[in-house]
Amino acid sequence: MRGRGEAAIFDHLAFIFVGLLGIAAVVMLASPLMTVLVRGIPVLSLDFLLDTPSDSGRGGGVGPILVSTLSIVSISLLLALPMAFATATLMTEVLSAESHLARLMRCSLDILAGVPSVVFGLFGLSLFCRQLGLGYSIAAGGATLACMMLPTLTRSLVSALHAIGTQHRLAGSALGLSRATVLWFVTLPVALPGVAAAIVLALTRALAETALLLFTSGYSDRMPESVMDSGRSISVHIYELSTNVPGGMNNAYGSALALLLLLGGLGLLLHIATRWVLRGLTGHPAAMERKLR
Amino acid sequence: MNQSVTMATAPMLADGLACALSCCCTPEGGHISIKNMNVSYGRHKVVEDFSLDIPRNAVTALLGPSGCGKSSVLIGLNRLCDLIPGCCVTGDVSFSWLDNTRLRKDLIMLRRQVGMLFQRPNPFPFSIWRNLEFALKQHGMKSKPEIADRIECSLREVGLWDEVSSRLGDSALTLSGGQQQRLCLARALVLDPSVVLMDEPCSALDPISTQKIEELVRSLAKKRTIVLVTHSLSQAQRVADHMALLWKLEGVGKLVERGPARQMFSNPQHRLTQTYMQYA
Repeated sequence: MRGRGEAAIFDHLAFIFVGLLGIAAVVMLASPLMTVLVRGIPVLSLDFLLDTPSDSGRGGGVGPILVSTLSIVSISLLLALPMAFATATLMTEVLSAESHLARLMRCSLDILAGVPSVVFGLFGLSLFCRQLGLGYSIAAGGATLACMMLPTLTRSLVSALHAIGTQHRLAGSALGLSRATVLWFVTLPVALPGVAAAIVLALTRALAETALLLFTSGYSDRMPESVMDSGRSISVHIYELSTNVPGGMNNAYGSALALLLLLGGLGLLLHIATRWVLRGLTGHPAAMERKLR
Repeated sequence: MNQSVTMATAPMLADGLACALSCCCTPEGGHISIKNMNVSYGRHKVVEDFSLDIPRNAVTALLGPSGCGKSSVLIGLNRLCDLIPGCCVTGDVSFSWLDNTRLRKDLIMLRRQVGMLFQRPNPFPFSIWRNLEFALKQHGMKSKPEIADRIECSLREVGLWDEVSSRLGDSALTLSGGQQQRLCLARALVLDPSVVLMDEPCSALDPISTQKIEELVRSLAKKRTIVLVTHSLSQAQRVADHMALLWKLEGVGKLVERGPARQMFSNPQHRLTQTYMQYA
């Protein structure tokens, strides 16, 4: 048996080791962020966020790029979210976890989640751009992105719904409420923080996607007039500026900072919306409270 | 899921919550009759040939060691077993004072008449008020004064009104465990059921909260039928009017003995009951 002094030394060493690893992880995460901040802040301004790019992106801003990005991401979320939600509901509320169909679905989702995005890009190019005649467009990019985010979004939603457990479902059913009522009014609001986290993860992946959108939504840096126009997403823009445009690095960092702000802003918006809905659930009409007093 | 609980015909139950109320005002007497109930999960049979008459407006305790199928019998009464994948309940359950033909067809009506309190407090993560209002609104009650009256009435019935009336807008999760369990009971009572099923309702509570729940069980039994699953012999001794002992025989839960609680404790007939009662 180890002595008390020896155990204390071992504890100290373990603490130092874990602490150093923690600091290393923070440094590794913070250094790229700091680089983007240091090199991006001088470039970033309101004009930069609103202007159209000029001189292949070396000058001007990222206005049309942000519009294209938001359009692509919105289309992908609009397409993927209802499908992911329906699939997650089927897997958690209807099918038994041990059923053959549920196992098959879980297995399919796991395999699809592991498929590289470039493969989804080729699939989108073949199906949406060529066979369905959408061409290189925001619509084709959004649809392909929806296919790519569907498996991860579904798995995240399944986890969020699973985390609620069966207690509310049983309690609701014991009160004679239908399963749909319990799902819509109890389970979903409770799962809302998890659902929001799943959406933020999907958004992050969608906003950061480059390879897939190179194949499907195209390169055009003009302001899109419709979803059938070609549109360059911000990640593709950063890729272009940093690899194919000599002298484009400053604007690449400015764009990267704009991307981070976009991600942070969307995440914050979703968080506020979630809090608002949850606060609404716990409150009750003030008039009723007065009546009772 | 393949469940077929059949119910015999009995006096008609009128529509709506108001009529659920009137049902409790019909002449006393009657019983819940369970005949040849079998419960299985997939191929695994947990309860076999369970038959019991549960007297109306009294507390009947279902006792027995873990895994003997007490809770399975309980969820067979309100058909909550329908929600458990692979669970199959067969047999015959009838409530002598209700329209069983209608209850067989209308699961919502059955569960409105047969409320349930679970092992652990499980209030919805809403405000105290909304926890009680939610079921009423979902069952079609629109009148705000009536909803307010119902909520106040059920909170008073569980002795929670004085403790929470000033903070009805607070989250139910801010209440203590015992208060949450009483809120869950109020949530079940707000629909005015004539039967309340309780699945070890005190197992997660401290002795003071347990005592409050037990007092409530006794007072509720004046006008409601209580079916209580418990592991605690002393609790059964304190609150039960009638008892039924289940035991796992040859791997399947079976009814060993039933009767008035006092008789079961003072003069148990079956060898297993005699052994079990030694732990009282």
